[in-house]
Amino acid sequence: MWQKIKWLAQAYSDYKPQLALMIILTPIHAVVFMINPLILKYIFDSISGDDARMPSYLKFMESWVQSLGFSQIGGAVLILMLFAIATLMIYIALQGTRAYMNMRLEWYFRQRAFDSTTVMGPDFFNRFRTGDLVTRMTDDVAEKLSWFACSGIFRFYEAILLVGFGLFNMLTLDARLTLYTMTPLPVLIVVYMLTSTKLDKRFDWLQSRISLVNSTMEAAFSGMRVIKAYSREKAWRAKFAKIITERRGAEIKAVRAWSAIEMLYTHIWQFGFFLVVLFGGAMAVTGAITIGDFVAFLVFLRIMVYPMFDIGAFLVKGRQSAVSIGRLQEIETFPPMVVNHATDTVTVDFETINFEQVTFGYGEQGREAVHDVTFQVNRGETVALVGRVGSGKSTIVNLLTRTIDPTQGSVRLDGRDLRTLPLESYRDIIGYVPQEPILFSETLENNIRFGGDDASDDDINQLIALAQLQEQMERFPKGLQTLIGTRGLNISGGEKQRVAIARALARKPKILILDDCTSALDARTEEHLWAALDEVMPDMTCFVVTHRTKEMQKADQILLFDDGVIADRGTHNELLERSELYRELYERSELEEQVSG
Amino acid sequence: MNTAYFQDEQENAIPARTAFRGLLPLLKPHRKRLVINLVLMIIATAMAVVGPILIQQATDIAVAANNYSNLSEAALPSSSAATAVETLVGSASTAMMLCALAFLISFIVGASVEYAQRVHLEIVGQDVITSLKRRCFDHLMGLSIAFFDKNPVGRLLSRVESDGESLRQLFTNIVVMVVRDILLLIGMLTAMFIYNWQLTLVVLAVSPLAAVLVWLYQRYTTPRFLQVRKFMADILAGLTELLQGMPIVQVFNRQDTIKQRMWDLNRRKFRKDAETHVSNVMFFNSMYFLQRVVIAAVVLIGANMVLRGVGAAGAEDGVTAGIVIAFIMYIERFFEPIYRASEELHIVQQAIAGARRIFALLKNNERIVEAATPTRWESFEDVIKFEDVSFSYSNDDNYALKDVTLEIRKGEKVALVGMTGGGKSTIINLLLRFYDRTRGSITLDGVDIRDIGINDLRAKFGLVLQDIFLFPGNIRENITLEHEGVTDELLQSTTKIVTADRFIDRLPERFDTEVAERGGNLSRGERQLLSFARAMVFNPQILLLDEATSSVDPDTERRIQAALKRLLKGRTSVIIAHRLSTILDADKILVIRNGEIIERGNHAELLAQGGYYEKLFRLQFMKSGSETEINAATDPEPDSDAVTVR
Repeated sequence: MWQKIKWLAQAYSDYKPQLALMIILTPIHAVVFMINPLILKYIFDSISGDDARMPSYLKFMESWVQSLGFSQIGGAVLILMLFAIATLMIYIALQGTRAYMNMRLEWYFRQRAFDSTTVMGPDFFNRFRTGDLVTRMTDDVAEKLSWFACSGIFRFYEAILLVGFGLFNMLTLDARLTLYTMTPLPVLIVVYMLTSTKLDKRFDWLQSRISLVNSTMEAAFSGMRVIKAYSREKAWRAKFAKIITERRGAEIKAVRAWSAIEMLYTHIWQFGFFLVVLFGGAMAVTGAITIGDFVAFLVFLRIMVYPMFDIGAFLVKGRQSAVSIGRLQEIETFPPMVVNHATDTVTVDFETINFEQVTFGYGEQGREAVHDVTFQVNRGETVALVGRVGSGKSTIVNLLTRTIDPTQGSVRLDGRDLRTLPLESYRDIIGYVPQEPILFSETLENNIRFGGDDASDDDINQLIALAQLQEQMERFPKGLQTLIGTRGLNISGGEKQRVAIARALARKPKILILDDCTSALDARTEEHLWAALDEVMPDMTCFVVTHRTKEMQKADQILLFDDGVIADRGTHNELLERSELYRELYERSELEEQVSG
Repeated sequence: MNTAYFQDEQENAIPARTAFRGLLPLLKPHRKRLVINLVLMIIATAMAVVGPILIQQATDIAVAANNYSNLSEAALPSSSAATAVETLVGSASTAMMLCALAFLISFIVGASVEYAQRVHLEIVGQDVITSLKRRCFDHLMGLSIAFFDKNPVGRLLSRVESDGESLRQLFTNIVVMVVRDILLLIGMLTAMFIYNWQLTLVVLAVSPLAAVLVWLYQRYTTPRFLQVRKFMADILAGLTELLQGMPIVQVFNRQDTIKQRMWDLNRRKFRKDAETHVSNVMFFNSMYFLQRVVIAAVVLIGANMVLRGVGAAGAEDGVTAGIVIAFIMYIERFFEPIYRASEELHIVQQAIAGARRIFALLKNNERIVEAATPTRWESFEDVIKFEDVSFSYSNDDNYALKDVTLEIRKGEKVALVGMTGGGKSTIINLLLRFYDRTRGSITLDGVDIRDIGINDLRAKFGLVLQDIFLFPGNIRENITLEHEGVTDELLQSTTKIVTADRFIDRLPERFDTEVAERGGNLSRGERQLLSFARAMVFNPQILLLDEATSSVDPDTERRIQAALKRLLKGRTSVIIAHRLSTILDADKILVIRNGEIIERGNHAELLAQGGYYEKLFRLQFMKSGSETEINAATDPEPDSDAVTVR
């Protein structure tokens, strides 16, 4: 709990002025606000013929307005108005700051959690699914946490002060009646807390019924072919009728509970009115209290109701928020897989890349994805990584991009362990085209420039030509400025792959990694693309994961992977001669090209 | 799928007035209950109006009693008079007690009646919406597959669920609140006018000002409110995209760029959010201030009236201290409807939009038309013929099938072979009449497919998708599709035949075991056996089998092949084949490419031709020869192939 409070307090470190403002304004507001009933008392005392007296600390105001020539009542109403204006201004400032801080903290919490994910590796993203992370950064942050983090806390503070000053003022009027009047109010807090958990349960049940209705509809609509093929429409109609009727029941139950509770909230304090009339009335009749006192108690009672809800809300929402804080801390404290501990510098014009007895596996007893892999690649060479699905090629790619670090052994650039090199400058020399071409909802140009900022317009045009995107440039409504991705133009898988290639080349990399990245292209485009790539590849050291027969033939070195180890290595001709596995893979690729061609 | 692009929504197909006309009949059956509701509402309102009156009474009783005591001290020192005053004070005390009791009763009655009214109304609202949702669902169940191709599931869900819900809100919350607020205003104004019309006018004088404030507030916040929602959606989409692209971001050293992107998205939302919230604060505080101004004015004027009337009830102006306090209480409630109105407006707009969409959906009548007098098709006796059949999913020149002619004779095993997207499943889709062919003719035993009753037609076929679609529910429900005609004996014997009994017996609750989402608690092989069992239970004459593309370990594969053989025995079958072993003994193999049949014959003939089939065959042979090994090594639990997934 202490950790969570510290975590929350940290959020305020950039907002000290706002914090100070809220701390100071809240008590001032409470004092000013709680004076109101006393002025009303003064007015009602003076019209019912009692001896009207202002509280001692307002005496100066009374004499001041009377010196201005106002009548007793006119003066009191003027004071009433002055306090109303003061309340208006103070409360706008106070509430405005709270609202501002709620929003500001929502932003802060979300940004902080998001920023911390940018250093996380695949282990993190396997542990937390995207949907889960998004929920934590939106629902938890916006719906549960941000309101509590400022308004929840400071309304509680306000409530305590309001109740405090209110009680103080009431006690100056009559102690016994104060006791009677206030008795039902704490009940409100208890009712709020008890019922909100009970309500949650009913609403959980309702929610599960709603989910059932939705999942039934989803199943019916997605499984429509099966339903129609087996003529089950009637049965599904009946099923839906049953489920939605059940939901109707749950809805009504929830409303029953909710209405009952709301009636309690809105009417329990009226019980206080009853007590004031019963006891206060009797006292007023006998003259034990004045008419003004009687009225003041009624007004106090009314304005002390809402603070009770705030106290209840603080206790309930506090518990919920603690859970949300925990869920965010879980993200923020997750240890990143790859850590930047640079002691050395990157040689941009390196001579060799070495894998030395590299083994990689997840966790303690995780399956090893690659085992004891050793190989050397010289500058300017092209290496083809070949093997079946799951044989370890992608792990090699991830090790090369330093998305993961070896569990044993090392990857070395000119003999220096990658772990001793600055992560950023090492990655700067890499151009990577993933198997799944992930693009971002940006313009086409920005997606390409994602690779390198300093690409000139000429470079971009060359890349467009190289990636065989000229035809798209004519077809896309705004050419390079066309918005693509989820909220823009929906482009095909093949087009995405080509953009991803342009993106990787835009940074003029020294090491180019192509991970089976032309699979979605039609044969002719693929042919042209590779022809264009062949012209630029000699400038770089290339790693190519591929099924293409031509790429296998051309590679300086082929690494044949099987079940996480290098089963064989050599040139195409060598492997064709001696490796059965290679022959099989090669022939299959050949056939595949024929069938799809 | 067949069509890559979903159709845009045509929201405005139905004008608002038509939508409302659609809504009224839904309410009609509940007329009586609505009247009862109105009565309850009137009672609750009356109780709310009575409260301040009782407080007024109490105050004035106290004032009067005080006056007597003052009198007794000043003017009537004699003991007998003092006794008389004491009696008066005593009766005042009794009256006060009665007042308190009346107040207690009024708020208890008020609360109970209000509770009853709400629940009662909720029942009406639920009934109306439940029947509307059922109507939507029933309607959707009758629409054609073509409709579902064009409309993503999410959209249909939000039509029925979200739009339905916003309509219910309109019924149970908004309409009611408006009615109740109007009743309350009428009640309070009446009471105030009876008390004193001048003071009432003072209260009414601020109404235009309040209305202007509400209007300004609405105009300022509504567009911002919508923008905040849009920006929040952008944040959601942005987060999803950036989190998914994180590996790329890292390799390209773009962490700072995306942090900045998130920052911008956050800031944009923050700005609008702050604007809305700050204007909220301004609005509600101004309204509260306005309320206090009105109270101050009423107190000022009222107090002077009380003084002029020498402070006694029944004087010239008739204004007493109690009346002033009653006015204060009314003014506090007088502003409530105004607060509410400012929140309700956009819900109303949403509900109207929802109603329009729902009724547009109900008007959509895209369905496979059944013949007016369908021909009975007792049983499949002879032959199914496709003659020059062409079909386009999009009703244009983009043909999925081009002039296809084929024959399926009773008892034959026909295999469809070819690359994905070639048109194999289209043939099955047309046979089941999920779609109607664009050109050419399809006849079954010589009868045009469109002349046969749809249920009659489909009852002859069993569709087996080996990548089975599992519904939420248990194993039993997934096999029988909740058909009452399937007895337990039939279920047991069927599962035995396809050897699914072995794994079902091992499940914790056998047939009653719930299937996890997408069948997560079943292995691939088990799911395939389930799909066989499903088809077997319905005992169709013709089997349409879409073979699984994914493979399983050799042992399971053998079991599946054995089960399949039993399933196919004695039936006519059309198989979309991905595995050669299934179709080696097929009577006919049709090789389909780009919507055309390019080769036909049996396995030996086609192999001898050395054409496309021969290549496919060799490729598939290689795949299935080697893939079993691969799968043994990689059959991925979601977390074990972590390195390769992204």
